[in-house]
Amino acid sequence: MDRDTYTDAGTADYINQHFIAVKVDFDASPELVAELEQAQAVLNLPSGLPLTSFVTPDGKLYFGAGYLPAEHKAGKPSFRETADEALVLFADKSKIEEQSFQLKLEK
Amino acid sequence: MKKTVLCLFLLLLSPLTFAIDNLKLNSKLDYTSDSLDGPLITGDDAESGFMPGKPNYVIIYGEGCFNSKKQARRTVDLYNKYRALVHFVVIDLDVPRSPEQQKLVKQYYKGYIPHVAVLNARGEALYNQSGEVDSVHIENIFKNSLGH
Repeated sequence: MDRDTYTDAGTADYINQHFIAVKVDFDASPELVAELEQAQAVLNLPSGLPLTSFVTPDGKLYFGAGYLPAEHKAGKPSFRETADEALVLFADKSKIEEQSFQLKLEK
Repeated sequence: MKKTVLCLFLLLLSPLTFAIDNLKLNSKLDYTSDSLDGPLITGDDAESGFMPGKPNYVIIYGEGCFNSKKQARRTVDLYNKYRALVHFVVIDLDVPRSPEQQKLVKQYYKGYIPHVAVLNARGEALYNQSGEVDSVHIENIFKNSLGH
């Protein structure tokens, strides 16, 4: 995704406009990645690596995907399409209460 | 006649008794790096979960993962050797899972792929570890569980 998605100017602008982006290096933070992967698996969302998670400001993982290309291809939605869906879900707090995974937060 | 009717009735009531069959490894997998080559393993009734009455081998994998691909290859080799004796459960984390498979995900998956679990006929874990695992080690667990 570093090569295909995050270097796409339109996608990068979109992310910066709508989200706070956090990039997690699996090798540096394996326990955090494991928690994110487990959360998505429990919610019956795609899991594995790479992993794209959408999390509320209070640490509820509510949506996610695996690899997301810059453009829709090979049956995979684009990053933008998935992020649009995440924004729609984020606007509906009742759905987040219904299905989300509270992550452990460090103060 | 009564026995036949009873068997048919039980079969109709027990969709979980259908086992994944005809497992095939994706022939286009690249074993040199992480890459997206599609589902690693395909088969009929691929949504099956735990089946009591015989040992179960469960693999939980991600499609893009290099280590998952290598474990998938071992899994299909084991399937070709033990298909009559062991029930194989293949869980692809990149696609939505059936409720039966989600039970196994919640019980065994710890966030690292690939994950392999071997369960005895009653569903107790004989092996439950993340990461690749040598086929000989799994075969020994199968043999012990089968009383060979």
